Amino acid sequence: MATGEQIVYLYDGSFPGLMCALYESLHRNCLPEDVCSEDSAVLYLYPTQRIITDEGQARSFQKWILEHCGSDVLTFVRHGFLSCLARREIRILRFLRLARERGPRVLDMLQHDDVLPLHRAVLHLRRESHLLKGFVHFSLRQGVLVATIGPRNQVLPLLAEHFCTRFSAERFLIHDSTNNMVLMHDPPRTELLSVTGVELSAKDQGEEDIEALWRLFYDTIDVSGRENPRLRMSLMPKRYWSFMTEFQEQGTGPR
Amino acid sequence: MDVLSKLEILADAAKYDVACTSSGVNRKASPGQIGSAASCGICHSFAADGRCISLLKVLMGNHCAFDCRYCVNRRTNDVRRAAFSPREIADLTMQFYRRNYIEGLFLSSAVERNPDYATEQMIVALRLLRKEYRFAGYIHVKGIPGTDKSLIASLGLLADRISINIELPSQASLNLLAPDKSKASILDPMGYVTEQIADYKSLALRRQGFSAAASFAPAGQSTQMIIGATPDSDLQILRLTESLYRKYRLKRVFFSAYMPVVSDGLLPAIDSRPPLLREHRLYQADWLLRFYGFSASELLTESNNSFNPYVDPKCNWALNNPDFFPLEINTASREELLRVPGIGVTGTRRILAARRQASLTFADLQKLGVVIKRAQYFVTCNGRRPEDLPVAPDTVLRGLISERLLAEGRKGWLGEPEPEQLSYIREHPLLEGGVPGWQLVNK
Repeated sequence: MATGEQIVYLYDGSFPGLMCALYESLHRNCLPEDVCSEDSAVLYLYPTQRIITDEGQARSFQKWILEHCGSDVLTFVRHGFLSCLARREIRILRFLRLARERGPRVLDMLQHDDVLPLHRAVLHLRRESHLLKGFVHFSLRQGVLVATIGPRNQVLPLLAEHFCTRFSAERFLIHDSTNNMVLMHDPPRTELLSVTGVELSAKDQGEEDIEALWRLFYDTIDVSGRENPRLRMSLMPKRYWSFMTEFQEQGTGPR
Repeated sequence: MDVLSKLEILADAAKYDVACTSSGVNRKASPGQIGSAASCGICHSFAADGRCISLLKVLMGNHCAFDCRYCVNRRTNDVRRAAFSPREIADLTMQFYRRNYIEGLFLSSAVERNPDYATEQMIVALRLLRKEYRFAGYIHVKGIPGTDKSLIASLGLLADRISINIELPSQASLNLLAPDKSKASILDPMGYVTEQIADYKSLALRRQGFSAAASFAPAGQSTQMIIGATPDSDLQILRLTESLYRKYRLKRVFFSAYMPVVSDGLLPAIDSRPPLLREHRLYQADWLLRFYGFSASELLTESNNSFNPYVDPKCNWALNNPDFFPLEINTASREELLRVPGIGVTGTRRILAARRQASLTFADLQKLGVVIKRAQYFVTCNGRRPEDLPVAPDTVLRGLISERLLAEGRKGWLGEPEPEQLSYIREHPLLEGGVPGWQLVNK
């Protein structure tokens, strides 16, 4: 067992940065109190150690995870990083320490305290990204399909492949307003960017008509004798509604 | 008539078809195409009734030559009529698809003139979509009973899924309510689709690696039955369902609680409520047939031929088979675990994986997602039961009947008078036959 050390690792907030922090911990067999992003404005009670991001080291550490723990564990770690779990970095570190001992089977150990919370967070991310594959509704603006979402997790990296395959020849843009990120597809280029904000141009002509058709369809398809608002809410939580065409009045919503 | 009005009429006419799934096939667009399909299916919204909206579900037209009593589009019913042109259907689908409102199209039609003519119209629309618009998204198309086989063959090459609705679960009910349809006119094309799917599949297997083979309804075949319009019992319906899965290799059988849309002496009164709980129980039993290794004859018998409204079919089976339990979590087989109330397919998979690492306790089970409240009466962990396992019949029943159902029972949702307290339910005649097993905990 490593000795717990009263130290906090500070990394640059990027995934390669986190990889370097984890490498530092496992390599030196030192378990820090916490691993935090530099920009998280927290007052640390412990001395801090700055981790320098080295892309090469991050890559070789991922290769090590792949070889010792398998691809599912590596994907799990990546998804853990994209989740909205509080203190996810230190949880990923604890998980990886267990994975180093147990190998790929660590993913089956849901009863373990170093696995379960992270597992739940990853499941939450994956479920949310599955839901959003459907709930992302575009509107045409200057010939580009544009959508805004407000997810809890960083879903864009998981959505990229799906939308780029489905709409391979289309120009589209999905703006994640929670995490200030944008997925841009301008064939053949695809980019995932951090942004400070997005200014939307006006909807193209005829767009309101199509949206009216969709709203009409949405309202018509409901069988009123089966009304079940609670079921709808549990399958499609209300926080997604404000971004969806069918819940926007004509001429409202992001213009 | 403009597209907006047509959509209003023809989506309204299509909404009683419950199936809206887009599952069963994985496909990526080839260059020049637009669209893809995901085998898990994707919901793009949920209607106020809680049903998934995945496909643009519309009728080609609702001018019908048939006069099925239960149907809102019957020839003699006085409703607004409309018809889309194939081009209108294709354009609307593409407009919606491009904005990611939908996974694809669910196209159905009333029997305009005759089954063959109506089907030909649908084929034209699907050809436009697939060939001209190079659409690679999901298409579910309805086969109309009595359609010529050559037309069904064309449909199958354009669509991902075909469904031919049985609608009524017995010949007697069909004779009574759907005089233009017969068992043969439904089952013959259904059997033809089954054969074609199998043929194309084996052809694709043989040619694997040589060239891309055409596929015939790669997401399989489904059907739908109306529940509660006729006196057919749950047992009859479940047996029919089972044989459809076995004999016709159907992917899904859908149940639709009858919603009175027309007044007719042969049908439930126009103000009667749809039997939603019965529909729910049938779906639960359907799941047990498809994923849990149950057979229809285990779930219902001639003497007990309808589902218990208060406990689900799996729980009901468990209570009636006390000798099967308790099972030891750390040694029971997959098939056995699947039969425990409170343990589902995912729970079973997790238990099997986790117990290879360490033997499991009740606290572990909870973390694996098992519903302890239900499972605790039926399992042991390392030979032990939970220490504070309640034994009072009241508490046991409360544990097995969901709180929600009790609340709904009180609201009269089950069509029963309002029960004052739980004792009412214990004395309910349906529980006397169906839930004798609460003594189980005293063993």
